[in-house]
Amino acid sequence: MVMVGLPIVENLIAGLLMGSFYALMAVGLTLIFGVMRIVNFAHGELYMLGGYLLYYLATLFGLNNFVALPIVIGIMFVVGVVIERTLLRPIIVEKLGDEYSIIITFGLSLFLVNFAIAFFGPEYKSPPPYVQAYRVQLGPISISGDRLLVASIAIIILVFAYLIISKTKIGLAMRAAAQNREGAMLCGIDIYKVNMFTMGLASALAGAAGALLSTIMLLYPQAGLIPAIKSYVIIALGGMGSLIGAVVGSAALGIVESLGTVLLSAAYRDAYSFLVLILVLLLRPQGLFGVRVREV
Amino acid sequence: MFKISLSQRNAPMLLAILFLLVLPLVVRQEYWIYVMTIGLYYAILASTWNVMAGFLGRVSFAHAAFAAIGAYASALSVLHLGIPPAVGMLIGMAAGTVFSLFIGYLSLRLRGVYFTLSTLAFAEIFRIVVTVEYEYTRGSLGLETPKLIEGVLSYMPYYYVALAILLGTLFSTYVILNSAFGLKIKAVGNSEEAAEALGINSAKVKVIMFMFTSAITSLAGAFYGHLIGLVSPEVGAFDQLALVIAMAVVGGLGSLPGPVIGALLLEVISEYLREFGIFRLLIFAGLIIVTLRFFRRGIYGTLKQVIFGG
Amino acid sequence: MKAVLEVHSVTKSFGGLIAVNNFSMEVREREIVGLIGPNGAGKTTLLNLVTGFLKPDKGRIVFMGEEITGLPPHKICIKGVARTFQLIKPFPKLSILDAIAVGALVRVRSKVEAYKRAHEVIEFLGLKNPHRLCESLNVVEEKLVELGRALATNPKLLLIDEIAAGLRPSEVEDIKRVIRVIRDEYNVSIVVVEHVMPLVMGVSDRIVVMSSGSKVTEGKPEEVASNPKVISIYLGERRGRMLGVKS
Repeated sequence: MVMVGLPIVENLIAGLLMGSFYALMAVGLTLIFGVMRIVNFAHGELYMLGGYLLYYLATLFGLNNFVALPIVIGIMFVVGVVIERTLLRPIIVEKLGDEYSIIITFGLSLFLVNFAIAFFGPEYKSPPPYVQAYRVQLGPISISGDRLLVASIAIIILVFAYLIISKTKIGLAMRAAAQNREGAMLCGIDIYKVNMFTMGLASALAGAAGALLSTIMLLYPQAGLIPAIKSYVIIALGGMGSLIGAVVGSAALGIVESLGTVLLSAAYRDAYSFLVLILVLLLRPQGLFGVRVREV
Repeated sequence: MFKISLSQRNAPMLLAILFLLVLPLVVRQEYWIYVMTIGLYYAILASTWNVMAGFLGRVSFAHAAFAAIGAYASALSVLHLGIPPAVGMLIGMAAGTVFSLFIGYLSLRLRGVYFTLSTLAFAEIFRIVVTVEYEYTRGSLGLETPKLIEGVLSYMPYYYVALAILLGTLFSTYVILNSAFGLKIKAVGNSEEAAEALGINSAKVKVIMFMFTSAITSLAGAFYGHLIGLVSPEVGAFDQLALVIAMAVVGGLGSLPGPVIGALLLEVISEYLREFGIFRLLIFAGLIIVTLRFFRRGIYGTLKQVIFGG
Repeated sequence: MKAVLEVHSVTKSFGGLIAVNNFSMEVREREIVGLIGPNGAGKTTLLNLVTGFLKPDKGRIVFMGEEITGLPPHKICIKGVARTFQLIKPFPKLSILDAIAVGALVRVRSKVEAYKRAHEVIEFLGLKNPHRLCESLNVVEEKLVELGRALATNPKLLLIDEIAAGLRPSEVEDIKRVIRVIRDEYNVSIVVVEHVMPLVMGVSDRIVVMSSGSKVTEGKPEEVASNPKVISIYLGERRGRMLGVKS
């Protein structure tokens, strides 16, 4: 029994670790959806850019990963602000519908992927790791120590983000705007500033995820597509606009994937998230924590 | 029932149809006839994508996947059941329709973005299944299929089949949009809540149109498979989807001629940009962004505004 | 006189907030009922519940003797309930004619028939140049189109949600007249949710007062207007007590 149970427990933990990275992406997406009411289809590319930024900072400037990471976060924050200002502002100003944000972020995604192919090259790149690979023994269970470290950094970043959202003035403004945009504007909240900050924060989180995960997984121009798709599933599962849902959903998905590859079929690993999405739509469209989703 | 008058309004359209009809007879190079046939294929895809996105405000990321479903369904039934490719195309159409009913029914009752996410999930599942179920689909290598028309060396017949499908699509879309049901479609596209309050079952309208467009898309995909003679995951790939969206957006969302113009134009440009390989999609992506941001109505819409005003 | 609409003990809450609290009311044939109350009283939520945009947590809604609780909006419209929206929802890219014809499509099948009915409504409301797009209209015309669309569905019950917001006094008078004529010509019961007192007081047969999700009182406009409890709701509890109102 122990022999069978061991890989399952180890996979469970591995799944949870992956979940922490998914959470960085999902929380960012949730912020964007909650405050700005749009789904950012270029989110995966923000992840990818974070990875490439780390790579070039480490290889071209010889910076240590731990030094480069905050720089990546800072740059990605600015990138997010710029994107909001140039491409997404018209949504409020001209009262545009869903299609605009979906298509334009899709176009941005396409642009960034091909930009990376053209200027960074299509081949896989390997940023240097944060620490050398080692294993940690917890009794009979053995887990990857470097993954544990990187996941811990992810969690620390998440905690920072949580503090920003719950303790700062701008965080309060974000929460107000998420609950009732018109009401928040009537209270004098500068919705333009809130949107830019939200996008910047989300972009920083995604970039951080990329800067962390790319040292464990492969870095290539399309590397962001799969994490992004999983993030969409997570926010649908957790209930779009719910931060708790994003975190719980991330952990859940990480575990489902891990167990799925062990218990069912490894070849279909990436498909499990989609099956989860279909199930969510069928049974509980508002997700685990969300509110009503019917159009009318 | 339909007065086709040679009035000022109809003239450009009739001229365009005439132009497309005689094109292969004038340009006799097989290479360009082939390119234009591909262009017509994309025009069909862009037009159907535009019905959902431009008129109903629902963006589908499964469009290329439906073309692929049509292609695979047709190829597999031709190879294993021995039926002629033309019949296979109808089977491909049926397969696409069934899947669209399933996805549409699930996701079109919900907020707009859920539909888009569902189509994304569906497209990805389909792609994974095709790659993994190697035995049936030969994965990335692709499935060799018989050509649509046996014993013909020229691409001209294919051109005219594609043109026929395109004109059929445009004509039926035009008829639908101008009917009473079409008024309901436009109402739903303008304001779903107001439409519901006026007695329109918006979910039904959306599902019906999604099935209509998916049927045509999978038919076109099946045609494409029998045109090239090979069905591979390439047909349903992300790049194809991106191309179709670029064509519809640049040509003009929410108009009938727009996507056709966009498709033919971008296909021709695409051929010229072939040497620049990696920059091709970069340019198209830039076009999507710039057009949507600054020229929302696309080429057709902007030209119409400039020429006719308002 | 038969009841066209019966709202039986309807309750609706959002998270912890109770928006409509055990609310009951009825609307009779050819009656114009005004629904008033301070902001956040739950009036629009009630409209959304009646028209199917929201499902009540508890209670029943009966229209023309038929249970309509929980039905989707389009089915309720087909049964004969029409509404306008507080934040108007126009069809920007449709012409006035097309927009109103959409409403007519509930009752007729062909476009020709729909256009005929739409023209009747357009003439009735005095809208000019019906081929203009809805996005190019001024505020009054927008609201008239919103009304026209609802009228075209040939309703037995019309719910008008704060139509007078942002209108000048002369325009309010016009709307008052229009509502009265609608009741007479279309033989329809009307619920007028309103903040603008001159409109709702001047046009209603009966007033229902709502506050914090509950019914406070109802009666003829004069009775309600001089009811101290109603006054204190609008002025605030403290001022009400100063006026000698017992809470």
